[in-house]
Amino acid sequence: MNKKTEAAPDSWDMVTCGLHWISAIWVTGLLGLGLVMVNLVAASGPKFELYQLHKSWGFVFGIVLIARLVWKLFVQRPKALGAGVLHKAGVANQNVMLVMLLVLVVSGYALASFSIIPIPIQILGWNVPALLSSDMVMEQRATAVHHVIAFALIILVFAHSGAALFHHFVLKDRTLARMLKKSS
Amino acid sequence: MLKRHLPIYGLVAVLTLSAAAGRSNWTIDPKKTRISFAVDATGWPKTVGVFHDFDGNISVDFEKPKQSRVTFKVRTGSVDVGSDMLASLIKGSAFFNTDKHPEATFVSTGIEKTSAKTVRVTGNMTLLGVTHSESFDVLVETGLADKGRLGYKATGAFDRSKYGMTTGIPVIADVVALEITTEQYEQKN
Repeated sequence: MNKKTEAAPDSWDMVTCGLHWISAIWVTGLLGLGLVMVNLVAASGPKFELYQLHKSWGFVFGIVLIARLVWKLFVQRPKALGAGVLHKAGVANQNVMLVMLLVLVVSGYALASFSIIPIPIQILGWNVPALLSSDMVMEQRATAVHHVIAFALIILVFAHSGAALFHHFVLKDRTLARMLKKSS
Repeated sequence: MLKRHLPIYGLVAVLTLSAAAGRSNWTIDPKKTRISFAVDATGWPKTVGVFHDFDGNISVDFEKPKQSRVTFKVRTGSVDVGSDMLASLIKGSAFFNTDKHPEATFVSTGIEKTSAKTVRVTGNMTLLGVTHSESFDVLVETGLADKGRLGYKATGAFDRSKYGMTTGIPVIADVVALEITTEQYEQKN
């Protein structure tokens, strides 16, 4: 498929819409779980279970994210509804968020794999192989990256969501609507 | 005197003392016995666990405390840390390796009176098949002695690395703190 030779569509395709909203819910859950497990749960046992849940769902999200990035290569953006610096910033924000998600998935897997404590990521009883050998310093670095990018992502998610609502309620265009349904 | 032992992270305690006469057999009351351990870790709350399955015997000689004996046997697979998932990790090969080493034991080798209400119990602790000498300070509560009950609180700490349990060090502390509280009652013949 050649994006360049086809006219830009009016709306996003259904697969992109589906992957977008699955990601939105998933990422919100993982960010929320991350904040809760790190900051709000003090008891070792429950905290441990939340961390393992975060690792498992984070790994599965990585598969969703790869599907989304691959799909993105084959579809064309709909016609732009805006222009200028803000529009470019909005598009850039979307791409930066995708990169950040990739960094979060990779750093999350890396810090679990680098850990000197052998706690495998489990998916329905299957242990995800830890391909990186134990390294305390690398674990700390991966953890620092994971935390910093997670907080940065939270800021960009608010900007992204705020912009979508601004388009919908203030500019009254189809930016948000076309991510929800195929056409008006 | 009493002693206790914690297998997992080890331990024991015991004690003796007080003043009645002669040697008598005292059995610990499992319902009033708590064998707990605590391990610290970097960036993680202290993990506190208890063992639910254990046996203990305390043979007390009030006239010759040094002849008193304490033995504890703990089934490490009964560890409870408030999470089945975390308990599975602890029971696994990285820590207790309960398939190969289902029990941790403590057998006293010496008891020394350290004050009117305290004794220091030394004994052989076996964890992961490795045996080392450990000592525990025991507070003896004699308030119910005339009713045939004695209370004990044993505290101590040991380095798990000595027993070959090295996983996670130094992120997870090497030192394991043990605390055993128990009551025993005199066995009627």
